[in-house]
Amino acid sequence: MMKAFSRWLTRRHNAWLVISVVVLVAGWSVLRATQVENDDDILAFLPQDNPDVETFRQVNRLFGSLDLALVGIESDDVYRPDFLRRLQEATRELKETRGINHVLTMSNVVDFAPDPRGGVVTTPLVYRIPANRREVAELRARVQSKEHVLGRLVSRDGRAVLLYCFLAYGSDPLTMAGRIRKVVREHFPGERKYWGGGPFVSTYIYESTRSDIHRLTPWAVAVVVLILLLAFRDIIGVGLVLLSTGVGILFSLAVMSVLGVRFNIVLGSMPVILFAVGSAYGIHILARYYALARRLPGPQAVRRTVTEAAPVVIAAGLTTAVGLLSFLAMDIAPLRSFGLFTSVGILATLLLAVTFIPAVLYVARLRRDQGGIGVLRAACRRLALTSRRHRAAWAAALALLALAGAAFTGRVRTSMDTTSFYSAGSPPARAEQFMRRHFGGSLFVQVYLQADLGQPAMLRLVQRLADRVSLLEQVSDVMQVSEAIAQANEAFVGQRRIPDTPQQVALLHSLLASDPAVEQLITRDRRRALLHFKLRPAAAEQVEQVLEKIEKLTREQVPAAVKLVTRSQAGEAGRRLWREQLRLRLSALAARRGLAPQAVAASLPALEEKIPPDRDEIERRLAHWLASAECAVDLGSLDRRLPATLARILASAGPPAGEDELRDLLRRQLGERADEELVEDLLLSLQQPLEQFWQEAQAGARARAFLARSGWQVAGPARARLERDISMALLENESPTLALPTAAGEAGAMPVVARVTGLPVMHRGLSASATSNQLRSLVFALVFVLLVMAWYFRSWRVGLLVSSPTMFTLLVIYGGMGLLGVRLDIGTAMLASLVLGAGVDYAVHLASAWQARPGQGLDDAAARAAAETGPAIWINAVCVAVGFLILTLGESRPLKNVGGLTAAAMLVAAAATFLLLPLLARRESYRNPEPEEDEPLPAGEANTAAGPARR
Amino acid sequence: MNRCGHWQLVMMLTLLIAVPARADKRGQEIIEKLDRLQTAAADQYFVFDMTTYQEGKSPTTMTLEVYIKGTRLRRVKFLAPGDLKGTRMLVRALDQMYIYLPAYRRVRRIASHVRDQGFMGSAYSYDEMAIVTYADVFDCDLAAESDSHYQLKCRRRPGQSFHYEVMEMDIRKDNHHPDQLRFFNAKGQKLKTDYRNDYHCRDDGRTCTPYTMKLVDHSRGDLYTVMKLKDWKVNTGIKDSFFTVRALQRDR
Repeated sequence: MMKAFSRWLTRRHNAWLVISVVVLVAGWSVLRATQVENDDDILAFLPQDNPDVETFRQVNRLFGSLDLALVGIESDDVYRPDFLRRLQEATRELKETRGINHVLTMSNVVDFAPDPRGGVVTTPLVYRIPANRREVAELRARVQSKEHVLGRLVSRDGRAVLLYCFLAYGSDPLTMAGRIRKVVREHFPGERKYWGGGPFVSTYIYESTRSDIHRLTPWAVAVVVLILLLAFRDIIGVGLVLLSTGVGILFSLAVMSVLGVRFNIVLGSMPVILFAVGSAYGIHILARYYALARRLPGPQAVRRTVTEAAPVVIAAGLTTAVGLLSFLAMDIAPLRSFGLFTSVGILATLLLAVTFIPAVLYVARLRRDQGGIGVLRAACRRLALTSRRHRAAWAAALALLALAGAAFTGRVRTSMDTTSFYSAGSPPARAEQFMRRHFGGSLFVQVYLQADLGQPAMLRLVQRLADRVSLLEQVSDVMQVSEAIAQANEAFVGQRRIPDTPQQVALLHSLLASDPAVEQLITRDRRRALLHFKLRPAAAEQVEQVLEKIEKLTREQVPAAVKLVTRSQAGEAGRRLWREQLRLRLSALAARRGLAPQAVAASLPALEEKIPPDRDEIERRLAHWLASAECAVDLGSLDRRLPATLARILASAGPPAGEDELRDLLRRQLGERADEELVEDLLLSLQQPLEQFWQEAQAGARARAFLARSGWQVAGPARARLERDISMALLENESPTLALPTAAGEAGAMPVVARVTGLPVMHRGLSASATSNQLRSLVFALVFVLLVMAWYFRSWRVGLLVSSPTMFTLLVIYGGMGLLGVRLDIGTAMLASLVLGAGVDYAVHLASAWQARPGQGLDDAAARAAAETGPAIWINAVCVAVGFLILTLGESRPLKNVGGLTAAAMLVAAAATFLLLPLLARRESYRNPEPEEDEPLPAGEANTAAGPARR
Repeated sequence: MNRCGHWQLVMMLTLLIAVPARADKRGQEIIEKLDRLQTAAADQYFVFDMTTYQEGKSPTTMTLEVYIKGTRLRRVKFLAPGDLKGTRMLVRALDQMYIYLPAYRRVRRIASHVRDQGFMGSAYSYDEMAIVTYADVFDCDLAAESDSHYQLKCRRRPGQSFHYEVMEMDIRKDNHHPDQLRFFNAKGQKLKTDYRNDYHCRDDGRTCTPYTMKLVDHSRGDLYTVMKLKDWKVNTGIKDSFFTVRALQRDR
């Protein structure tokens, strides 16, 4: 077939036809290639069908976790008026920036405090910029007392703040990252700034990879060209080869454009790969032509080149294409695109090498005197002969190396963390360090819950899980919906706790629902919630340990189904759960303040004691409330002393009994000063606060007793706050209902689904995906490369022999990864198939040239084949290695890993070819049946198809 | 193009060819006249649906019943959605609000200085909900005038805390009410656009109100809220005692 084609091609009009078609295709490709759109969706790199990754995606869709941009600012003192003023201005400007839905900073977070006139006063936390030292100290003290602000929006040491920017739906993260940077830099030119969160991290990964590719690709191509020029000293020939490679790249891009496939950052490395790998095909054709053209007329030299060299080149090219096509077995869409379209580029380059280049050679009648690459040729010959002559030593050495490789391959770490995506010292890594330094960590594990979260009992279940996990030493902070609801309850009712009825939960949630910070905790339908646990460690192994603990605790604390029971229905199991709930709550409150949670169990009996409430406190609070604007009746207008009098009487009357008794009491006390309507209005207004004050006084007394027994050393306002929190925990635990674990099918059972998710879980999913992708694509590539080799050499055994250097290479490279601690990730998972496909080319060329002269034995075959193919193989290996090595000079971590390892692999593959093939060869010839020749060739040139041009 | 589309086109063309006018006292006179018209009624009663649309989320609708007396007193009652139904608010001053929470059966007084946040997730901030008269907040110039409209350009007065630095207002000449307000920050960036359409008038044309209002928040991904008036009454004779905590608690 090749002969017929070679004859067809060496007709003038056919050669011109081929050239014309290529020119037209190239022109069309240029036009189409410029229309390829970029795809900057980093989430597209997440594997499909992985349950961990699917949960992560779902959670992100529901809660927009990746749409939160975090800006950290470090300063000597963030309470300085000048700093606060700039923070206020930056907050306002960010809020007014298109694409930002909401901004939360220390300056605008809403703070509420009791108003002396009644109710609460709500202000931004930094409402007025402090004007003097006293005001600065007051502000500092106020902020220090806000647990939900400290360690989240401002660091405990007052040297750093964190700005939360919630992006509007559909905002482009790249654009938004740019806008946020601009505003913050404008207001804080002198401070150190840190950029974290999804939009900044994805922007960094995308931008650094794109910038590396844009910056380094021209250099890689230039170096490849330089090496080729130095090796072949033939500008026209090298130009022709590069032209056909360039058309191959453009054609591949044009096909992408036609199919509507977008250009992703992995495809950005395609030009380097095609230039480094694809140019070899043209070089082999060209070299063979120059060798033949020294002795044969042009048309005949072209025909012989096509007949002899093209099949070897096609076989070699097919293995590379198959290696790349094996990416189709992966579950990551952009990698599949990369494999498919790089393979299209390889096939196009291959096709051009065996059609376009010979056509141009025929038409232009290029001729070159062959120079010598004598030193390289001699070195290759010596290398192959060494392997033949010291077989035992080499066999032992290579076997040892392979064994060591196999042993270290087992140590390749598959656990992934952020260092898989960016290097130490990069902006996201610096932001992580900043977060760890000032805000207790940067990594979050989340628990995704599906349940009826409108039920207070379910919110307490959420609280219980949060409390239990927060007791882990490695967990530095917890954010969850019960806390937000409790905070709202405090603002509207004065009690920081989960309310008692579903109607109260629904009301509070409705008032909060549109707050983007709350939207990250619970969906509007209250069917799904997300708990955020901030982790102290960042290293993959430690994170995985915490992750396992959180998963275990989630399984323990969240049953598959619950039923709501009242106190009377709860039984012993329910009472135990109530006690456990309280123990966890109190322990969590202690741990959050750095107090020993172990003291809780020993102090619990103090809560059983009957301690009378402080009636003076009740009287004082009642008097204040009755005189406040919240009281529906203006008692002061009836009698100035009436609020105080009534308060004293109510406090001394004991806990409120029934409505009628209270009405009677009010009637008696107000007497003729009030009509029936006024009494009713006062009764309606008073009932709830009166009940609340008594409850709180009773809980406060128990809290004081508990605190006294705990031995915790807390004093001043901090002790008052702790006492208040404990009394709220006691009130919360007196809730009327409980979510008791039950069997899923039981009557009244409510299903609960809990899944642990977050970046660490996604990293685990990615690790699993990288491992399975590696295996799948490797098996795919191995099978198909073997098939191609067996077909080409007409023998399975030779197919295996030819594949052996690449398999050895894989062992060495993966062993090296294990030894050096390089992790298996998305990038390195591409390595095996790439190396298998491209590396086997060398053995194909060497085996195709393998033929001993009659009676000269295998040494002669090794020496001749090495001498003839060696220079081209090494030049190609060096080209590929240098091309990929240049990618390691960039910032992008995945590119660095792939670049460095591929470079090493190609050099190892070339060396292994010259050592292993001569060592394992058992036949004097592995070449295909002799093509029918137009005329005899000089001895030594008949069976090489891959030798470089001799000058 | 539908009728509304034609009308908008005519409006735009009219405004485009409007003759630029020099800033003078006329701007202030026009805005003061608007204030007088808007406060002409002794009291007003509205029922409207307030729907907020945000990309990527399903629209949320609230139905509100609002009583206004004078320029200060307001009572609001949530009729829907179910979770908020029965919640009542009393506003006695810009920063003096009382809220009755039916699930707790109690009134909470909230003195709020947080004015620029969206009311219940809508595009309307508390500032925009509260403003009744403009002349005391803004100094206005007549920027342009056409046959059908005045275009005012207003700057916030020194000492005023209203969130927006600059406001542009297109006032119809026929009823002397605005059909578009645009709010800008100090850098000239447009932050919100308020469309007011479908004016109905009562009291011999002395009091008019738009039956459809749409406020677009450009900074929040063009989130917008549409308020559709369902019922409107003027001068119902509502007493001051309606605007007390006692009345709020008893829903009288």
